[in-house]
Parts: sequence; C-alpha cells; structure tokens
Amino acid sequence: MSYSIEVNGLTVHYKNFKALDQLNFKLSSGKVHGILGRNGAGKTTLLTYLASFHKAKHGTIVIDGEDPFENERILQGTSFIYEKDNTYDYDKIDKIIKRMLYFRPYFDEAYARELVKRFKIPTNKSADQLSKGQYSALQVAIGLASRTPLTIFDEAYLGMDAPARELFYKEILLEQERHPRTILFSTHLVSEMEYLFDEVLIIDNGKVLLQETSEQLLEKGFSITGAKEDVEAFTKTLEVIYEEMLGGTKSVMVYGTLPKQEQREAVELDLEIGSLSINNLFIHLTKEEERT
Amino acid sequence: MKQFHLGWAFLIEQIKWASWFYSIIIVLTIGTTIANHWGFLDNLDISNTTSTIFMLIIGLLYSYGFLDYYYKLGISRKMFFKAALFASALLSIILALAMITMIVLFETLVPALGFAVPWTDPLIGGGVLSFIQSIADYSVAHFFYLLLGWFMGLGFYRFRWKIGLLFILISFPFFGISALLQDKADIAHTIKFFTVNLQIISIGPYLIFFIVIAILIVCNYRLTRDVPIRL
Repeated sequence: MSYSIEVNGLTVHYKNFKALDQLNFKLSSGKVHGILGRNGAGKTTLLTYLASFHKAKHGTIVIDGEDPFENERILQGTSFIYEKDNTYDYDKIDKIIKRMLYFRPYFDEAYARELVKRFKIPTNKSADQLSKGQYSALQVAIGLASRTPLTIFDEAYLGMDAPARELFYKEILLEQERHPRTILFSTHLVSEMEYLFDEVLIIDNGKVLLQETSEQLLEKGFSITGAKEDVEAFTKTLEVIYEEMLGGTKSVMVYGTLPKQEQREAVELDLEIGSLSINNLFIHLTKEEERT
Repeated sequence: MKQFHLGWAFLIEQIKWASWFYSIIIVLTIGTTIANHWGFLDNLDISNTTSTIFMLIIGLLYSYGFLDYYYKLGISRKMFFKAALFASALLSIILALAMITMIVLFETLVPALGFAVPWTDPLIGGGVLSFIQSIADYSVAHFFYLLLGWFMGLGFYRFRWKIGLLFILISFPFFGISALLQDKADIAHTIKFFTVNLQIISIGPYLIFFIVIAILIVCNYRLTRDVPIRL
C-alpha cells in the first residue's frame, strides 16, 4: 500500500520570510522520491507540512485523495523520520520495538529485530545511551519496519557510518520490491543516494525548480568538451549551467535535451559528449547566482 | 491504535510517574512525622499541596512530552486530546483514592506506633461522608490543576516562551478561583448572599469548579486541535 501526494499553491510564511512559495507538484505512489535543495531551500518545511505537523493555511495538500490534516488513516500511515527526533529516548530498544506494534498497523516486528541486529544496535540499552550513528540506525530500522504507506526520511541517516548507510540503501531497494510504498528522501548525500530515486523534485528558494523522473533528468544533462571556440559556437543556443577551462580546452555542462542531429554535429566537430549525474545537475542548477 | 487503548496506555504511563511521586511523599511524610515527634516541625500537611503541584507538572508536560511523542507515532491531535482527557480524569480520581488511603493508613498506624499525626483535623474523625467528600475534593482539585498545567504548557508549546509567559499570567485568576473555592466557608458565605437554599450553597463551590474546568477543557481543545508539532 502506498500514498500519492498532490500539492497545490502551498505557501508558507515565517514572519516576513517566505519559506515556500506557491508550490505545485504531484508525487506518484509507490516510488522513491528525492527531495533535493540547498540549505534553507524549504525541504524540511515542506516535509513537515506533508506529515501534517502544521496545517496548510495557503494552498492545499492531498494525500491518497484526502486532506491529511487530522486524518487518522493518513497519519497512521505516515512516518516522518528526521535527524533530531528524540521520540524514542529513555526506552529500552526491545520495548520500543514492541510498542511500535500498537501504533503502526503494518509494523513487522521480526524485520525490525533483524535490522537492529544487522545495524549492530545493542537491544539491552535505552535509546538515549546509543551513539549518534546507532540512534540514527534505530530510527531508520523503525522507519523501514513500520512499512507505512508514506515514509519520509529527512536526513535521518546522518551520523550513520558508510557501511550502515550502504546497508540502509540496500534495504530500501529490497523493501520497495517486497512492499512498495511512497518514500521521500531529503538528503545532502545526493551522489551517494541518487541511484535510489525514481523521481526527483528540486526546491530552490521555496519554489519548485524542477520535477522529473531520474531517467528524464539524466537525459537532460550533458557535458561537452573540446576546443574552446568549437564548444562556445556549439553551445551558443544551449543552457550552459557550468563551464571550466583548461588551456585551450573548454568543458561545459548543459541542461536540456540534445537531439540526435546535434549529437552528430558535435561528433563532426570533434566534441566529446558525456552524461551528467543527478548530483552534478543538482549542484549547478541550484547555483543560479554564481552562474549569472 | 484504538482510542480506549491509547487512553489506557497514557494512564498507565502517568501512574508509573505517580507511583514515584507517592513513594517520595510517603518518605517525606514519615520524615515529618518523626521530626514532629521530636519537636522539629509542627502541624504539617504536605500531601494536599504537593499532589496538586504534581498534577500541575504532569499537565505542563502534556504537550512537550506526550502530544509530541504520540503524534510522531501517528496519533492525531484530536485522538490524543480525548485520550489525555480520559487519562487525566481517571488519574485524578485514582490519585485521590490513593491519597485518602494513604492518609487513613497513616492516621491509623502512626498513633499505634506512639507517634503523633503531623496535621490537625484528622480525616478518620469525620465519618464516611468526610471520606467521600475528601475523595471528591481531591479529585476535582487534581483534575483542575492538571488542566491548568496543560493549558500553560500548551501556551509555551504553541506560541513559544514570550506568549507562553502570558499564559502563566492568564492562569493566575484560575489559581485564585481555586484557592477561593477550596476555602469552602468563604465561598458558602458568598453564595448565601445570593440564596438561602442550603442545597445550592453546598453544591455551589463544586458547580463553580465544574464551570471553570469546562472552560479549561474548551480552551485546551481549541489550542490542541491545530497546534503545530515541533521538530
């Protein structure tokens, strides 16, 4: 089971600061969505609204066809796992796992215990005695085992070491095969996680910068390298998002599709065409001021 | 999670805290009894004030401790409110019963051991009606203080500290009303000014208490129903 999300005209003000500005987007159900943006772009604000931590005053949010605010069905099916969540403090790990059965209807206790074991979390300790990485791993384990139709991870894995993160990513892929649900990831570790995303939503200064499937997005990014004059002539009409020079050689990153005809022309000019990662696109698309 | 189960889980959690509180109260009362026996202290009644303060603190923790916790586990604000109200009412009665039992045991056992009870006006001298009235008084006062603490805590949780302080100021008249109502002779005298009906005079303080409690319940609900949950 998984929830779809539809946001229309969502605007959020904090005093004089506009944190979210007329957001409009749809997130399809059963997919892993990367919610990307620079610090202060409005990612966490958006996610707290999706988790109904706040009531939307301007604009609407529809989750699985219903208004999620104070909607018991939607709330029970939504997990919001974030970095500084102290919900599980003071309780023993064993008790926390048992207690989740009362709150999350799809919670898989055996899977939770397996994850806790694999993340090497000591079950005889209370949550506040865990290291930062272990606490993050516990949150992630509960998030995965809860199998809520909408699961939101907002930088919850910060503090986890590389092997633990790797295990977490593998489990995400396995879980999506076994029990597909809508997963939202807000992360700064884009390069590390981009292979998990089915769709990507980039937010910049409180606005939707782009929303594409990962495949579409990867098709829209190119690097073009060659002699300076040839590269400049070839990219005159294209949207260059980054450029660098090394002697007489110029390398640029282009955002947009490159038709077959233009690709042939590039080859004729002896230009090298490469693909871009989501991370590269994210970095350079959200670096607007520096580009202009 | 079903509404009833949540209310019950909530109550059990609070009773765990209350049992710690009562253990401390028992130790303190034994201590004051001994101190009183040796002439260090005289006529102390720590139980009534401390239990209402305990309830006030529990109420203060409702938003930061419980609402936050349960919401993040998928419980709606409305469901939390209903469960919290159920648990608070029951807790108020249970603590009143525990308090009265403790006082009665104390007033029976302490003289038998050769010590003097460290308060005047013992409960066991008043008969059955006195027990019932004491249970009712304690229950109502507990419930009132818990609601008031909840109200103040909500002010801080919802509006942060500046407006939160304003909620403490708003609470002062409620504390005043409570003090006045608990002094039954005073309030009965005031009610006598309006009526000579003895039944109205005797239930008057309770009636006013219930009206104030109803006001607090409405205020707390309105503050809870769309409160932003803090990260």
